[in-house]
Amino acid sequence: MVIMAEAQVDRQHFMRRFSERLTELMQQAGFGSQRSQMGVKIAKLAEVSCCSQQMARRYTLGEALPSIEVIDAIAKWLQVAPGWLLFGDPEEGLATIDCHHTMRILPELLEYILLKSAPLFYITKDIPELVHFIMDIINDITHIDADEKSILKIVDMSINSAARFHVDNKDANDQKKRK
Amino acid sequence: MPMTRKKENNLLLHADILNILYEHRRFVAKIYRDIMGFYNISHIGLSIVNPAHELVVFSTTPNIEYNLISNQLWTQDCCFNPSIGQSNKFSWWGDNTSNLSDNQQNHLNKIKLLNNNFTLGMSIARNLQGFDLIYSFASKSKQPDLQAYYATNLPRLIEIGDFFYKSMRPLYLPYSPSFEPPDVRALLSLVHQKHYLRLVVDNESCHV
Repeated sequence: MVIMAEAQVDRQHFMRRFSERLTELMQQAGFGSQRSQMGVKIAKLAEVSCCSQQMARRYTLGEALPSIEVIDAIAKWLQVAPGWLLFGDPEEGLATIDCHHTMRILPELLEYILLKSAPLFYITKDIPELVHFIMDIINDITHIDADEKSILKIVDMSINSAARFHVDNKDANDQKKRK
Repeated sequence: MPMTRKKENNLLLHADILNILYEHRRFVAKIYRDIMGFYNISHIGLSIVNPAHELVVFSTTPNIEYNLISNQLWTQDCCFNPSIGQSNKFSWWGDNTSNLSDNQQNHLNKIKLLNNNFTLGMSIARNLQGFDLIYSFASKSKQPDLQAYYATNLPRLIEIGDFFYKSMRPLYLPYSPSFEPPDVRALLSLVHQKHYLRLVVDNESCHV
């Protein structure tokens, strides 16, 4: 039985719609740029949002949502209602989801990935990045042509790579502190 | 993950190629975070062929490489085979340069582009000190004239590929113990060798 991971789809869809409204408005307001992935001036958005350029880039990529205060500031800057910037038109709903942007995964496999990933939350402080990494694993797995045993091995290797990475980073940071 | 050692077109897959693809995934993701967003890039891959023709690959979207290998499509693909396309030039993913059947080409496009919602992909092969490096990129951008946009930014894409190679080189070292992979400074000199200033003084020029 295959089901859609609906909660993740909802969240991704919401953030993607927000980023589409944001980038479209910025381009209309003359802040387009061919140098960034979403075609807008990231530095300007970072300035208005009082955040790093990396975070501003994540807003435009649909990977993060700003706080209410920041949404208010962006909405004033782009001269739209904050509510519209955040939620869009009322008729915009899940019915408009493009099936190319959905994931289908066996619930047992999703459960396996989440259980295996759980210890990672204790060894990293950067939770959004970890969640992004886990989403990457899930997305990648859904496209692999392999038997169940191979897929589980890939999941294990991917998650082990994260555990090793965070331990290595912690060791490096500890060494720096000692020096 | 059963893996048999394959030798095709003088290329030999590293015995652990699929494990290598996933074992360093978190590190690759970290490097990608520094690149993501520049020039609309949504994917980067790196294939390294040493002088013994042994191939290792790293990727931010490893399902592409995994499926190409498991479906025996890797030998005729520009992400793996440096003899497809010209050095330091783009090989566009949709182009059928290996005389593949329509079915094979469609399968290739599905694995590389459609599965991952990429609108365009391209690879660049570089040869240095007996090594072949192949940088592969893909984008999800729907901006018009995307191919022309990349064509004008080829040197920048090569620089991004060099950065990725430089970042991955320490991880690659154990997989090619008999051959020292190219130093990054050699790559930079290759990129910049055609760009120099000419100082003209009293109608006599000298290079600076």
